[in-house]
Amino acid sequence: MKRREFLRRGALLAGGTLLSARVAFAHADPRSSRFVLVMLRGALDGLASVPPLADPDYAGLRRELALHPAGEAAGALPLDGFFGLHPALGFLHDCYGARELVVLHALASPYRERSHFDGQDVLENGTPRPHALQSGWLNRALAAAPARGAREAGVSVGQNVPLVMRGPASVTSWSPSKLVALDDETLARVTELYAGDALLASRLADALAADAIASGEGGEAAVTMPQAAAAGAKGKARYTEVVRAAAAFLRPDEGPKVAVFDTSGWDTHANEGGAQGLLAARLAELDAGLSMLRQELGPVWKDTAVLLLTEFGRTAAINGTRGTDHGTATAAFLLGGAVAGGRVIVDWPGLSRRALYQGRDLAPTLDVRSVLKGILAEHLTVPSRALELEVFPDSAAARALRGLTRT
Amino acid sequence: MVSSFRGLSVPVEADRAALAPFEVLGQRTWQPGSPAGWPDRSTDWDGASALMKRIRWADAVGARLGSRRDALQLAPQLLGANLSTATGEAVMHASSAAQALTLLLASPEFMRR
Repeated sequence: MKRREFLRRGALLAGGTLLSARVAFAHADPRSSRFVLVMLRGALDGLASVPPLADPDYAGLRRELALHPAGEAAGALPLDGFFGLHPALGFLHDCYGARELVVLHALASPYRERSHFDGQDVLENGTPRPHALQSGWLNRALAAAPARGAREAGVSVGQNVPLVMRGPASVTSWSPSKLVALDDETLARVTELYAGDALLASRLADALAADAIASGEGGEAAVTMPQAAAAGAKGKARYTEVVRAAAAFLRPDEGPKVAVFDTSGWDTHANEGGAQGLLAARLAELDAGLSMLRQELGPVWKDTAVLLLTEFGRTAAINGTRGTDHGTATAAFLLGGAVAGGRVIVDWPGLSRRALYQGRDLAPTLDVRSVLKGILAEHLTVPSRALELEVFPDSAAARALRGLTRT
Repeated sequence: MVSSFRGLSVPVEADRAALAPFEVLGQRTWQPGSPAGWPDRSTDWDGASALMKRIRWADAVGARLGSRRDALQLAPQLLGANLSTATGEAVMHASSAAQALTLLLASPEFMRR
């Protein structure tokens, strides 16, 4: 680490020899860099995923959902002594230990309202305003990046090409052939929608009961299977096709170097749970999916950076339905063999009433565009000028956060 | 169901994959198995399994088209006066554009359209 730091500084001081120094000493050739963007749609609870265990106001705000300190039964996984990691994120914790995970906290996009649609639009279009552009920052970055040989620089894996990947650069896409299992959260909302309709409500209840019997859920297996193992198995199923496809596109040297896929089910308004429960199960699925991604990427994992982003965070305090509502700042994760990890990067604003944004949300102290600029500039060698002008218009205040990757 | 595709402005001929959900529903779009056409008796449609298939279809369409369609705008266009407050709110509070479209297409009033 010390040596790498020294080399980096040396290279920077040498100025003109930066490029040759990189090729000679750096961890990976930037031309082989892979980047995966995972969108967490629905607003991930950053305070539950990366709990600030040592913050004096944390336990009081989260009450019965507060995670126990590391070392206690069902406690959080230890990070830097101040923050922990949700206990369902075992693979991410291993990455942290291997210095392949950077946790970013108290970060937010420029969006300050509370609509999922507009929040996701801002996160994807790369401007400060919803619907300001009909293309995404990742696509524009690919258009500005030096050509890497592949006909299509990026691939979108899933049922549609998300806004972040649309634009002037030619990208390819891949959809799973089968209809994937219906999202639990979507199903819960459909169930809610049928509450006032006796016929549809009872038909749906019948269908769900039949599905449960067919899949073995609710039988003896569910009783004997530990929750984590069950979630792991389910996550494997949910992410298997998508993760395998993304890795298959990224592995070959001549293929696309950038992939994007969506995840959903993070909108935890009710019964969010703590160490176990709704969010824990979702996080366990995601964790299992990422573990599989590492496995599937095999030898190119060392060249890969995977970024997990969500549109905004959730309220600092829990609500009347044991969940959390739409908030502002949240956490993000950057993992992979190319990541200069083992760090939590944060300017922690605190959780006191005075410190909270509008008296209710974790306050943002890091602009997500700073993180994106740093990754795009250093990992994908997108020219700084293009980042400022085309990729992130009106973002001068968000200076690139450097040193996130080893490339 | 074809009318919903019109409502969504999907070029059905151009995107054969968009027809896959119809196969899942057990009806091939332009080829009814009998000269009498597709059955429209409620027992054929409201069975538990058929309902689940329609919800899955709504989910598939939402996933495929949701990020390019504004379900909030579409709701009154597709359902007019039949749009219920509950459906309107469910669409507005959906956690993604894809889920919003799914909820609109799975709503009781759309099912009975």
